Amino acid sequence: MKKLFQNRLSLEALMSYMKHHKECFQYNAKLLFKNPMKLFLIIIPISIAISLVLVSYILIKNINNNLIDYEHEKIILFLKKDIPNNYVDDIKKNISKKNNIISIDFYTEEESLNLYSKINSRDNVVNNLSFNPLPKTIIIKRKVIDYDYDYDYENNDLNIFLENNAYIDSYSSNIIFLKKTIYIKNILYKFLIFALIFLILILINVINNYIKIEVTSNKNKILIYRIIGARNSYIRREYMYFPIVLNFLCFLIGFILAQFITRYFSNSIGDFLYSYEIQYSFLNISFVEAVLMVFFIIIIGVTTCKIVINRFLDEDF
Amino acid sequence: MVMISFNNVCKIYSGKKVFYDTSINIKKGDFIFLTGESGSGKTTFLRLISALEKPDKGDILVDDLSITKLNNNEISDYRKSVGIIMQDNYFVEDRTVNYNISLPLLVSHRKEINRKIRAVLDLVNLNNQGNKIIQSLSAGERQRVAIARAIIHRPNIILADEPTGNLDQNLSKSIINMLIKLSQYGATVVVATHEFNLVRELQQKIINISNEKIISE
Ligand SMILES: Nc1ncnc2c1ncn2[C@@H]1O[C@H](COP(=O)(O)OP(=O)(O)O)[C@@H](O)[C@H]1O
Ligand SMILES: [Mg+2]
Repeated sequence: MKKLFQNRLSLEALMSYMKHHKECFQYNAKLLFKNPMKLFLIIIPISIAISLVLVSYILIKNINNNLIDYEHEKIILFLKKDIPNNYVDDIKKNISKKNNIISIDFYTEEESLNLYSKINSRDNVVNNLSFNPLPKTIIIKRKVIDYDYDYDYENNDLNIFLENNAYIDSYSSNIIFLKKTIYIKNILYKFLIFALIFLILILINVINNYIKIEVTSNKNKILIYRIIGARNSYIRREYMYFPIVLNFLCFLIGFILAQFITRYFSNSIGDFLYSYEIQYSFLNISFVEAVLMVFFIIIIGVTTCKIVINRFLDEDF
Repeated sequence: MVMISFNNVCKIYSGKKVFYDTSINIKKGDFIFLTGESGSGKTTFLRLISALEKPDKGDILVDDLSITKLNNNEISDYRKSVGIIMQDNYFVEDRTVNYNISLPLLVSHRKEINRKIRAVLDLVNLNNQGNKIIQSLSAGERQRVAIARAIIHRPNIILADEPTGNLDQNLSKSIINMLIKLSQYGATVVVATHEFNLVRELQQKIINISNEKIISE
């Protein structure tokens, strides 16, 4: 390229350069569809690997997106009616000394009702009530650490304190729900890593084999190029578009495949969340994420291609 | 002016010394017949100049450029100024004569491709055959396409390994005469051959290879 501009800066030279790129692209696109068996053997495994990556990624993204308000354990304390005000402060002070507490908020009866109507969007029900069924409330937020999965959230100093306090009527925590979602997320993260490694291995393997076959069967042609003074980059160009065209095609197929699989799993996740009264909204991967993904697989493909061809050219010519 | 110069070149294939401490100079614009028995090292000599082989020892200078010390890209660029006709010529078999001949121009993104193709086809007596597929050509026609491909980009050096092997007497003579004419225009031409009749008849400079040594006549 540098030489092209140094020595022969002309429109015709540039056109010829672009034309070669175009020819190489067309040649590779045609090559893919010439042999249906090859199509099957090459495209299907890569597409499946891509769809596995996409499915796990989309599910993780959806879980995170739908559970933005559920990063922390939420403990709701219902206080007894006759609790003196200074006792409330006493309880708050006691709780704040425990581990991992993020926030402690006190709500009077009315505030509790407002909060309830806000969270559950049940204004009409709340407005029509003749009396307030809710007591004074304290809401505690406690940090849940992912890797602390085995931490005993039911039998620790905070819970023991809550259990034994005479002015606390009852309390409830969403920790079991959180533990379940963390468990699912962990599985999905592992699956995503597995799928990524699987994809990379398949890409490298398929492209390596394919290029080896192509290059060996075109040995004479490459010898001609060598003799007339074509650089490695020129010879390589003929094979470079293969991983680009292939990966683009595979991404499209993998994406469509992933949509079907994701919808299926997404429904069960939706059902699961719904049983905890959480509204579930589905979120697909964004355009930018798709572009990055395509970019990623094309880079792997092109790099593999480059290494294989260079090694071949250095060894045999 | 010296175009190609071998300085104490050694080339040894698994114990067999093809060249040993060989030095020779070839001037710019020379036409040279490279003669010698089969197995004497004619092809090796041409492959050394083409930088397809590296000498085990010594240096080869082409136009004052040491071609033994070039990297891959530099070798490629060097070969753009050399026209090589190999003993076994390869083509892109399923493409036309025109396409095959135009390859050296395409690789270096040159201009006026069609005009140059017409001119060179005229030169090797293949007018109006440009659109034929290589597979459909006879051995002699293939040989002439190979020559056309080697000279289309006006190389400074033309290296031909048995270029008349598949041609009849008359055509051989006209091809060699054409190469001689190119040398008169300034190209340095080295033609390896074992057809001594032709060599004797055309009265050109001769480099004879025998027993690891080069004997100039
Ligand atoms: N790649 C190679 N490996 C081993 N020996 C070789 C190789 N190329 C040439 N030779 C040997 O070098 C000698 C010269 O070969 P060559 O240059 O082809 O001779 P010519 O072209 O004059 O017939 C021969 O003995 C041949 O066996
Ligand atoms: Mg030979």
